[in-house]
Amino acid sequence: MAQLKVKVQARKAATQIKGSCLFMDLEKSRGATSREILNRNRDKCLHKAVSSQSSKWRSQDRNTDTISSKTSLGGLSPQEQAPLENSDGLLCPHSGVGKAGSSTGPVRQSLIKAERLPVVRTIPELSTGFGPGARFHSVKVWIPSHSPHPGRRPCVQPAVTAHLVLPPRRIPSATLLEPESRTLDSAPRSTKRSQPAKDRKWLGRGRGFLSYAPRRRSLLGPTALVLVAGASWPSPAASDEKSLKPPQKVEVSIIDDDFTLKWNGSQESIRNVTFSADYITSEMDNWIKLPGCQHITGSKCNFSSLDINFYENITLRIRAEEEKHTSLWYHTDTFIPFEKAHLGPPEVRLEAEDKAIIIYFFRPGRKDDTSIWDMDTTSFSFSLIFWENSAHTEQQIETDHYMDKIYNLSPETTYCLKAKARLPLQNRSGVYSPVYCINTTVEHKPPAPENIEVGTQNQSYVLKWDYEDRNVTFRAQWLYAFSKLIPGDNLDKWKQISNCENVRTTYCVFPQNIFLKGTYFLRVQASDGNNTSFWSKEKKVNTEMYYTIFPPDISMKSTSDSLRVFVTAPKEPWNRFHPFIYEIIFWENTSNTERKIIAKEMDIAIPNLQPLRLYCVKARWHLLEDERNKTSAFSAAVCEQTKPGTFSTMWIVIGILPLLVIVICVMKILQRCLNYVFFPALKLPCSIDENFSEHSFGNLLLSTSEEQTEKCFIIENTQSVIIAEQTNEIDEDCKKYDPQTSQDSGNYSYEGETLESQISEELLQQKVLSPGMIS
Amino acid sequence: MIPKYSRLVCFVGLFIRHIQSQDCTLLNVHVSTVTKENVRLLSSMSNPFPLRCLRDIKAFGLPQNIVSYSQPVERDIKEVFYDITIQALHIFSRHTSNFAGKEEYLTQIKSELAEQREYLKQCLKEDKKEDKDTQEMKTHEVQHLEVQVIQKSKLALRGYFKRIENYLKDKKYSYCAWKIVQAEIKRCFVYFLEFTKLLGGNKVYF
Repeated sequence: MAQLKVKVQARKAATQIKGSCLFMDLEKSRGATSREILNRNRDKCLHKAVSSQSSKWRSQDRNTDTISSKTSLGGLSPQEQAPLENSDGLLCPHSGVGKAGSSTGPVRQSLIKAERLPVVRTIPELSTGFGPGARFHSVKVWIPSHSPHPGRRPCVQPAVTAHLVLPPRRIPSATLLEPESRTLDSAPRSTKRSQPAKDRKWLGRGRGFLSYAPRRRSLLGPTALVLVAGASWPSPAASDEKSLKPPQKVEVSIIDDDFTLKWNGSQESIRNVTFSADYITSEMDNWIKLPGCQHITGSKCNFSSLDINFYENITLRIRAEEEKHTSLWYHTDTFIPFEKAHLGPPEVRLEAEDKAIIIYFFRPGRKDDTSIWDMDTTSFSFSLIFWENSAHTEQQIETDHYMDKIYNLSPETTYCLKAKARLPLQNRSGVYSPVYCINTTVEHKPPAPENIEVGTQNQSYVLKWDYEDRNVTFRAQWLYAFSKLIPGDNLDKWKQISNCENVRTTYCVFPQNIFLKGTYFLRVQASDGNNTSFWSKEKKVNTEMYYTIFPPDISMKSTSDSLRVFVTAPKEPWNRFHPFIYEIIFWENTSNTERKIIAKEMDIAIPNLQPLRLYCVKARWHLLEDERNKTSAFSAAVCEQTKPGTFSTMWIVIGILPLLVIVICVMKILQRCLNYVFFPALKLPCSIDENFSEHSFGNLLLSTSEEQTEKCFIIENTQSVIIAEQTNEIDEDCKKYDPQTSQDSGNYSYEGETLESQISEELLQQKVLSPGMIS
Repeated sequence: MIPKYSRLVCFVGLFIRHIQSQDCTLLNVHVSTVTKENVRLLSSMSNPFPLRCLRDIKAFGLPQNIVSYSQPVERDIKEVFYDITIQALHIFSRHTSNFAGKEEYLTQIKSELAEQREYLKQCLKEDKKEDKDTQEMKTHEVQHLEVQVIQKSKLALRGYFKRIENYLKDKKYSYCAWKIVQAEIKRCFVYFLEFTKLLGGNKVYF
């Protein structure tokens, strides 16, 4: 007996589901998408209360049939399998028993009610509608939503949905077609079908189990649900004598814009068996009939007229038909047409001259912009094999342009070539075109000019060429280089150079401002009045190479043993793409030896220089392009002296330090002397101080020329000391000494002593001092 | 003196050898300079923007992410800029009779784009050569898978340019359609320039 095994597990370890409200529904749909089904369900089932304990399920819609009081946890028995239906054939998610579902509308069958994950259920073959080869089933897992009302746990939102295409018998695998998980009220997004690449890879065909991880967050929060479904059909019964076998070995082949579907028809080719195909892209919801592949009798069909986006996923399905019976669908792998396409041969058109052949290429695919290769038009490159018909020595030529010329051929000879198109940056290579041959013409008079050269003179270009005959006039034309990247005849794109029209000399001069910055092709033609020659070989000219470039500006920074040189970049209108290098020449001012440095950076350092020397530097640019080498003039020399070396500075520092020390010491000594002389620290003894003056002696040397006068004290022999003034030859001011009025500090007044001792002492002193006066 | 001189000669020799190959290390500088120049040209073309064209504005869905995580970021940047260069060149190369701007601006833009395309193509070719040298023989299957992964971000870019082209076709290459497409391509350049600056982070690139 065939069976379907469905396993629901949580990403993390076994999870308890609150409310034990985990459902799995297996639903069969016929073309209606799951979104449609879900929306309809939402309208009906939104407010169901599901009790975790009771097995009674109530539906708000009273039109339902009786509800069984038992819940079935295992596989459904045939009686239980019948779903509970509303009047319009829809079901609400609950397990139970009801009327047998009709096979016309979408049939839903509840399978399981569980409390805890992981859950595995095996579904036996239930009805004719569900079994091997069944078309489109969805397995939905419904889990409780966190509703604010604890009593009500509506189990309405499917957390995980998977669509299964059950395989026909004998192929024990199921294809998980469109895994998606979303909540009910979210609109489908355009990216809903694009699974991350790694998820996609899990969906490889194979036996047994398929799994995927839902991208949206489930209602269980961080533990995402994983749905694993697989089918096994152990013994394919041979009981579908009436159903056709679907086509085998279906292949899609895309070469350029030619889309072909090929298959192996059923073995009974006698019967009137036709085949039809559908397609679906990631942007569409429904399968659409594939144009050009309906009721085909052969074994391949062409659907090139399909107008789709070549860069989107697409899936095809095909089945066999015979009168009223159809086989099961065979689904191809999902693919992106652009990736699957192969390059076909390019188209080649040849034109012969006498010594050259012009080749016009057309890229593979349709010429207009509906081709699959249209967007890569400018990326094509062509490689061709070219040989002379009799010689058989082959020459391989590669070109990027849609028009190319092969020169230096002999007249009246047959040449052949075959070409293939390549998209080198996508690693795509096409097949070779058929061989094309052409005869070159007889030698043509007048001959074409040769050896075109371009030079500059002042502010003009000088175009020169070689020519033998003298009696001809010439004219020159130019073309934008990018015109060759677009297919088509460029005859109208060549423009005249006005100064080079009907010139008799083998050169012509035209101003530089005719050509804006860019790359151009130039060609010259001779005319002798009646006949014109073929065009000369085209010369590619990049105008930047001919602009005069000004020398760079230099600035320098010096350290003690190196110089850093800063150079400015070439100014506009220089081409940024062409590499340029600097040549720097430096020398020491006194010597004559010059040294050269070539650098790419704009900031270089010249190392290993002598300190305290004068170095001079001059620089110029070198610009490189293919064959040409463009050099600017040298800039003016800039000189800079290197700083003194660290060695001598060290000595200077060493020398300065002791000097400083000495200076400090000397300063200190001087200061001490000064202090000593002018601000002495020592004090005079108090007696001298008293005798002489109140003025401190500190100011003795610095005082003015005011004469110091001595005070004179005359002490009389009385009880009270009376100081009398003497007015004869003593020219000193005497002062009355009065202890009360004395200004003397308390240090020197002895108020406690007896007066007599004082007086006697004073008298003695007076006698000693002025013996002459007493006598 | 002699050892110093020989050192300089070696120095020079190294540089000459390096100079002969395509200079792709300064790619970021070149590409950003050229792209800015193109943006400037497009800006000068699109001023003033006629108000009557505002009703034709359409959202083209510029793809936000160009990084594919399967190869170095610089490679992604090169490929993206190559793609937008050739697509922009493609758009500006056809049906330009109604082109909304001066002829010389158009040729200048095409000229710049062609140069940039050439340059990036050479750089990418060199990268591919390096790939071949460093890796052993790949089986066809592996190659196919790689192509698949790379294409995801590029497919989005292709889809974007396809929408622009379809828009131009639908509007029959009218003056307003061209104005809007110019503004959109300018926006695309600016966006990717900023994006690559963000990717570069603190590096000296971009």
